[in-house]
Amino acid sequence: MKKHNRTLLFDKLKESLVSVLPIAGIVFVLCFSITPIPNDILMAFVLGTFMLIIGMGLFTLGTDLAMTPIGEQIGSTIIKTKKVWLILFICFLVGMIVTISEPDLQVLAEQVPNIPNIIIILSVSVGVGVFLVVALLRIFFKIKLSYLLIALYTLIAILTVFIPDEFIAVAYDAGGVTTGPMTVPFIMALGVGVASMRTDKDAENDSFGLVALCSVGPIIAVMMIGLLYHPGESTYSSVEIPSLATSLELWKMFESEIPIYMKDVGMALLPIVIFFAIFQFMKLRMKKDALFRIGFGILYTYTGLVLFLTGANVGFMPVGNYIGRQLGGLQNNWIIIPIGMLIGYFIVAAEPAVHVLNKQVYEMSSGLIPKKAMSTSLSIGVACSVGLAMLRIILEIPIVFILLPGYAVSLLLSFFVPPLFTAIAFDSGGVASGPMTATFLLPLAMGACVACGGNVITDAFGVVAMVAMTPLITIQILGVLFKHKMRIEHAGHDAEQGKSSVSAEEIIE
Amino acid sequence: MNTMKLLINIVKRESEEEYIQFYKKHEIAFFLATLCKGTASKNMLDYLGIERNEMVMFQSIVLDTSLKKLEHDLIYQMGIDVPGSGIALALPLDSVGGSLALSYLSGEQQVIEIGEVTNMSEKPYALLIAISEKGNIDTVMDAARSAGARGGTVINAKGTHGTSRTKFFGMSIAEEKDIIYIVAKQEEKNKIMQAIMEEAGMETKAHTAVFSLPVEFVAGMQLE
Repeated sequence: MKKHNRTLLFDKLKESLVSVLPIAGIVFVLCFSITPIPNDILMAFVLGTFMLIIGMGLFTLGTDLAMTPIGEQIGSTIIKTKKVWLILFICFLVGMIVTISEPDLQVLAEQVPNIPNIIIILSVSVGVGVFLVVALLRIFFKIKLSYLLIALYTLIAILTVFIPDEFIAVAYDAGGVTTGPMTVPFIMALGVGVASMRTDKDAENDSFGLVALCSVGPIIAVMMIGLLYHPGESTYSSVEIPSLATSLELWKMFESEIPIYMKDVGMALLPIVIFFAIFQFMKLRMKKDALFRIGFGILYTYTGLVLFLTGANVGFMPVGNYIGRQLGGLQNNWIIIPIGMLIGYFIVAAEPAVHVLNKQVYEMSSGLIPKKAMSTSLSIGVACSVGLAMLRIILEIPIVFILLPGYAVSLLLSFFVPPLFTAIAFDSGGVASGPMTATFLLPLAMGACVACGGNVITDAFGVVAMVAMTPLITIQILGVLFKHKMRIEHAGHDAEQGKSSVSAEEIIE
Repeated sequence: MNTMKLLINIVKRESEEEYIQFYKKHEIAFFLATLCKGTASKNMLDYLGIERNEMVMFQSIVLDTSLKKLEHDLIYQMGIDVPGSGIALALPLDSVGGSLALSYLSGEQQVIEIGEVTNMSEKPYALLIAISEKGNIDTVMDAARSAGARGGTVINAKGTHGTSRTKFFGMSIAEEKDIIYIVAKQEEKNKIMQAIMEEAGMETKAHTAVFSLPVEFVAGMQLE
C-alpha cells in the first residue's frame, strides 16, 4: 500500500533530486576518467550539488505558493479595472522594475565592453518594460504573435549587420540572461492571470508569449547601445580556480559568498513583494490564511534561490571551467561536442524556471501537454545548442551563421504549428537559459575556448544565446507532432460518427 | 432513465496516469479530466504551504451494468477507500440529448434496459456544490467545516453572467468563480448548507450559491 501522508516539500525535493543528479553524475564520471580535477574543487562541487538540490526544491515550492499566485492576481486585477492606460503603465513598471533587480543583469552589464553599467542596466530594463507593454497591446489588438515575432526578429537581423562584432554575442545573450528565475515565473503568471479573465477562444493561446516578447527587448536595447557607442577593447573576468587545503577553507569559501547572494536575491525579490503589498492594500484584500501561505512562499523562494545561486556559482562554476579546459586541451578535442551535448541534455532539468514553465503548460493545457513531453523537447534542444556551441569553438564559426538560420527556421515553423505551441516555444527560450547556463555551460565554453586558443569574447560567449534559440525549434516540432496526433484521433471520431446517422435527435429521458 | 450514472472520481494528481489506464481498461470511452485542488485542512502543513492538495477530477458516464464492476475495482484494485487517496461518487442521470450523444457518452458499454436496480430510498450521502466568488474558498470551507464537513475539492471556473457580458477590446471578460464540491452525509447536509448560507451566502461578499444532488454510490469517504 502506498503512503499518502508525505508532504509537498518531500515531493519537491525528490523532483529536484531527480533533476540535479544526472548532471552531477556526468561530472563525476568525467572527473574520474578523462578530466582529472583537484579534489578541493570536486568537494566544492559536491557541496554545491547539495545546495542546488535543496535550493531548487524550496524555490519551486515557493513559486507555486507565492510568485505564481501574486503574478496571476496582479494580472487579473489590472484587467478587471478596464483602464487601458493604467494597465499599460503598470505593465511597463512591472517589467522595468523586475528586470532592474535581476542579478544576472549585473553580470551581463560587466561583460559589455567599455560602457557604464548603469546605462546598460537602465536601457535593458526599459526594453523589457516596453516589450511587456507591446505584448499586452498585441493581445488587445489581436495581432498574431508569430507576425510580431517575425517583424521584431527581422529588425534584429538588420541591426546585427550594423553593430560592431564585439556586441553581437553579448546582445543575443542579453535576451536569455535577463529573463532569469525571478522574472520568468512572475511574468508568465501575469499572462495567465490576464488570460484567466477571458472566455473567448484565444484566451488559452494568449496566456503564453509574454516572456517571448520580453526576451526581445534586451536584445534590441543592447544593439541600440552598440550603434550609439563606440566600443573599446572588451573585457571579461576569467573564472578563478580556488585552491582549498582543508574542509574549513571550503566552508569559508561558501560562507563568504552566501551574503552576496542574500543581498542579490533580496534585491530581486523586494520589488515584487512591494508591488504585491501595494496591490493587497489597494485592491486585493486577501484573507489572513491566504496571506500566510504567500508569506511562507516568499520565504521559500528567497531561501531556495540563495542556496541555488550560491551552490551554482561557488560549486559549479570552477568545475565547469576546469572540465572545459581539460577537454579542449585533449588530443582529440572534438570529443567535447558529444560530451557537451550530453551535459546539455541533462543540465536543462536543473534550471529552476524550467519546472515552473512545464507545470504552467501542463495546467493551462488541462494536462494535454504532459511535463515529460516538455522536458524532453527542452533537453533535446539544449543538447543541440551546446553541441553547436562547442563545434563553433573548435571551428571558430561566427555566431550569426548559426543564430540567424536558427531563428529563421523557428519563425518559419510558426506557420505550421498551433499558435499555443509557438507562444510556449518562444517563452521557453528565455526559460531554458537561466543560472545553470551562466554558471556551468558558459564557464565550460570559456574553458574550452581558452584551451583551444580561441577568442573568448567572440567564440565562447553566445552559448546563452544558443541555449535560448534551439528550444524554439524543438518545442515547435513537439507542436507539429501534437497536431498530427490530434488529427488522427479526430479522424477516428468522425468516421465513427458517420456510421450511425439519425435524422431527428430527441432528448432521451 | 436510471440506467446511467455520472461518475465523479477525485484522486491525487500523481495517480492521474494510473486512473486513465484504469478507465481505459474498463472500456469507459468517454471521461473528462479536470485539474482541481483539495481544500486546505487547517493544520500546520497548510500554513506552511507544504500540504499536498493537487488533485484531478475524472467525470465519466457509466451504465449501471458496468458501475457494479467499476465500484468493486475502484475499491479493491485502486484502493480508493484508503484514507487520503481520493473519492468516487455516482449521480443518477436524468436525460441525454439524443441517441448520438448517448452512444458517444457510453461508448463501448452495452446499453441494456433493466428495471430499478438501486434502492432509491437508501441514499446516505449528498453532493453539495457551492459556487462562490473567487478567493472565498476559506470562508466557505470554514463555515462548512464548522457544521461537520470534512473536506472539499475546488475547481476554478469562469462565470458567464447571462446578458451582462463585459467586453474589453473585443475580449469577453468573465467573472472568476470557484466551484466547491463537498460530499456530506444526508443527515449533515442541511446543517452544512445552512452554515454556508449564513457565513458566505448571497448577501455576503462571497456570494455563494449552494445546492445539493443525490448521490447513489460513494467510495473513499472516510467514516469515523
